Amino acid sequence: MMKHGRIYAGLFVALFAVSVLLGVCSAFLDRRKSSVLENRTLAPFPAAETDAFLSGVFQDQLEEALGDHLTGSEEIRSLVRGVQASALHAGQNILYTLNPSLRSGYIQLSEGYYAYNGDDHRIVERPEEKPFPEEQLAAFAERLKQTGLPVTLYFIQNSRSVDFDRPGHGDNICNRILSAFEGAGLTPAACGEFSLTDYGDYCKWFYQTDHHWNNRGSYRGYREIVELMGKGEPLPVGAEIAFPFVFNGSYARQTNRLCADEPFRVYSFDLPKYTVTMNGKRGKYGRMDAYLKGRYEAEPLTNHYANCYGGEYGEIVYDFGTEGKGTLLMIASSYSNPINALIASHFDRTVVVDPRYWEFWAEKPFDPAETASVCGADTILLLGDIRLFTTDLIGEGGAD
Amino acid sequence: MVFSSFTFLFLFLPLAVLCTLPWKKTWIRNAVLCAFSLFFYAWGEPVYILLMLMSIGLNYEAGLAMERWPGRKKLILVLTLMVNLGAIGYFKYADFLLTSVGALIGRKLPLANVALPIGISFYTFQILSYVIDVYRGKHPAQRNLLSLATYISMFPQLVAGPIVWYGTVAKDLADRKVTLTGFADGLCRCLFGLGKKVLIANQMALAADSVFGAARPVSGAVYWLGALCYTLQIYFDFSGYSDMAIGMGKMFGFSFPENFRYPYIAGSVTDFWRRWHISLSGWFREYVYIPLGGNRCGIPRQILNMCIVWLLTGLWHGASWNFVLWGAYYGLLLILEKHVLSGLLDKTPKFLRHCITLLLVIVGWVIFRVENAGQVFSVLYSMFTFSPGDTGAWLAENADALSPLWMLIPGIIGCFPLKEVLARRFGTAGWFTPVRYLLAFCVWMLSVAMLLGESYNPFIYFRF
Repeated sequence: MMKHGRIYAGLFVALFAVSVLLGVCSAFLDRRKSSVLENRTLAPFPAAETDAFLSGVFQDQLEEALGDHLTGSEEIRSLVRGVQASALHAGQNILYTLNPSLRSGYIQLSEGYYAYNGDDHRIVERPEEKPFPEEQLAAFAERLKQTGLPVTLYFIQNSRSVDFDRPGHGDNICNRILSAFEGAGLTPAACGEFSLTDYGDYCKWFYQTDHHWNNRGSYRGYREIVELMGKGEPLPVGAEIAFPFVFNGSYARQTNRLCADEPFRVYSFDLPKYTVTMNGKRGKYGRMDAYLKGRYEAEPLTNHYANCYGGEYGEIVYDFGTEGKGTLLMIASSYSNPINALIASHFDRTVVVDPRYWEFWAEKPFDPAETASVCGADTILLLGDIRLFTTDLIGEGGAD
Repeated sequence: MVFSSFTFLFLFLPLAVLCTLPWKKTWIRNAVLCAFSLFFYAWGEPVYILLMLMSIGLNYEAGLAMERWPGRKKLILVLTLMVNLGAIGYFKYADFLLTSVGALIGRKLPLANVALPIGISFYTFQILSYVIDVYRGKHPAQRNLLSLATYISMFPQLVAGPIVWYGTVAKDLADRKVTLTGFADGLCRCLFGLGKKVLIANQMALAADSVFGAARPVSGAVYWLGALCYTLQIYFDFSGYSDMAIGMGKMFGFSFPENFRYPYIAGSVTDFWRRWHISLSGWFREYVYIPLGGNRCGIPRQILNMCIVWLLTGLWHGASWNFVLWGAYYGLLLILEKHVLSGLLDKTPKFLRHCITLLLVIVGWVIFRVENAGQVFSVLYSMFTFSPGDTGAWLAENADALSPLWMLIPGIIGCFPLKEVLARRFGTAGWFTPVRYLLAFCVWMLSVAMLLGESYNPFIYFRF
């Protein structure tokens, strides 16, 4: 028995030693820089430096690198997450069996972010229960009214404004915006809505892990806006291009849950020649041409939406060098980025203002009447989701 | 460096074992172990290593001085206690004191804003046990600086105990043997401890934190669920860490005392404290309660002694009023149990006694967890008035709380002495030891998998 005890002990210690040795060797010999399965950059082993050690940075980086480079770390992570997802769904099912009235499609992934209907490929938000800023919006409408120009309003429904558990729940938001405007004596010349029927409809028009609409959604929005404003036929799509990388959007970056399988897709268009001025400087808005030539960032968490379509500026001016089509003042959030040029192609000149970034650039608060007068606008378009109307326009918005 | 980190498990521990054990001479083993322990401490607190070295030097000299000048040993003891307690007082309690005095006089006093040296509460108590025992003549002062430095800084129990009295390891410091079976048993215990921490405590932490960290107050039933999860989290977290410490001690040839003995099966609060953090309650009994007079005095003095011990126990756990409240809560319960309810308790059916004790312990953990003394009462009010709420809906919406709940099952089972029952029944069977080793290896693999898959790896007792 004693002899057997020593043999068992020896085997156990040897087995443990082999597992540790394998782990350590695999970690230090691993030359990978990024994880294919997780679609992210792996933490590199840090250089041993006194300052880094004294500040604790070396210790943190070593821990992260070891975790990333251990044998099978990607597969194990994926397996653990799969088991956790199954545990979650089983737990939900028990809960719903015990109390059917609780049945909800939402399951929180992290503060403010959810998966819906067990669809763990997609991350959504959920409408917040908070008071609608009717008075502040009416105050903005008053200033808009001073321009004396026709105003078109286009509201985008998304997971921030539509509760998929309650069909029709998001339908009254556009009406509330309208009623706030009308309360201030401003009746929009036209009002449209990017409406969603249900979760399936949402999936069709929005990215899996980003709050923005995808290429199909933004093109639908563009068509509806052009029709709403009576500006003729929309530009036809040239081709749909799917880039050979998975797109991790803002939700993926904020929750650290990476997208499983959605490539970044864009539409190409045959646009007439035009010039762009961003915050007063001539240049190119976005890098669509570079993308189409295969020149883009390979980092998995790259913000392709901003890089490809264009980032945020207080003011962007499009000039198509035509005459007779008028000047548009477009007050919009980042939802307009992919369709700025498309909409602008229906006007001689278009000034796009993002109220969140205006003051930083212009060094004074955004005044629609003054801006409309300076740029000689003939018409105004308001374009955005619930955040534009409940925070950005009333001066409470931040980066999104 | 926490025990459940890749750096510790894959680099530090294997290297420490490989560099320490091949040496035959104990003093060389001590030297290597001491060097690794100081490096371990410096890993988390590079600057405070100086504090640790000063503490070792001072207490070494104090021990020798007490023997050199027996007539002045009381004075030397008092001075040593003042320095040791002064250090812990400054680093741990200065800001608490300033905030409290400021609140009292209605002025905001400037804070010291010093970071708490890791494990200061644990190693200070170990040092105190050494100097007090030398003063009492229980054992001679350690003449070998290296041995004392090894005792004070030994990494397995440095940051989270158990609080090892000097007398317990004095012999091992002078001479110890490491056998293959002893090493394997230590490793086995260490891996099971890791499993307790990573597989159960970390999961329970997810659920407990989403309840107590919720932005809005939740319903009473949800608080009860959170309290149950926290009750399991703190037990598996701390006892898992203690198991790892005891197991690693064994791997290096030391016998550390047990720190937990299935506290949640206790039949009374007194019994609970004989099973929970045994090394701390033992320390307070030996070095505070008994010197104050213990049970050998009248009832009012006994009650006063208990009040002092429990006030200190609360404060030892943290510089915050909720810990004082927590200490007072247990002090009151123990006084009631000992002097008022002892007869009634004897007549109460065993099962009911267990249930009442568990309920009181859970309430105690709520006081411990909530951290804001003002909030404690509203949470307890919510729990005991069963305030209506959308418990099911809350659970359905909180993945962090719902998915780890499966681990409640092994967690609850793990609170019972199943291992001891199995060892008694099958301990002599030939298959028992290899199955135990195999199980430990599976726990090791699962723990590494969970550490890879989960980034949430908090450690409650690290801050003490």
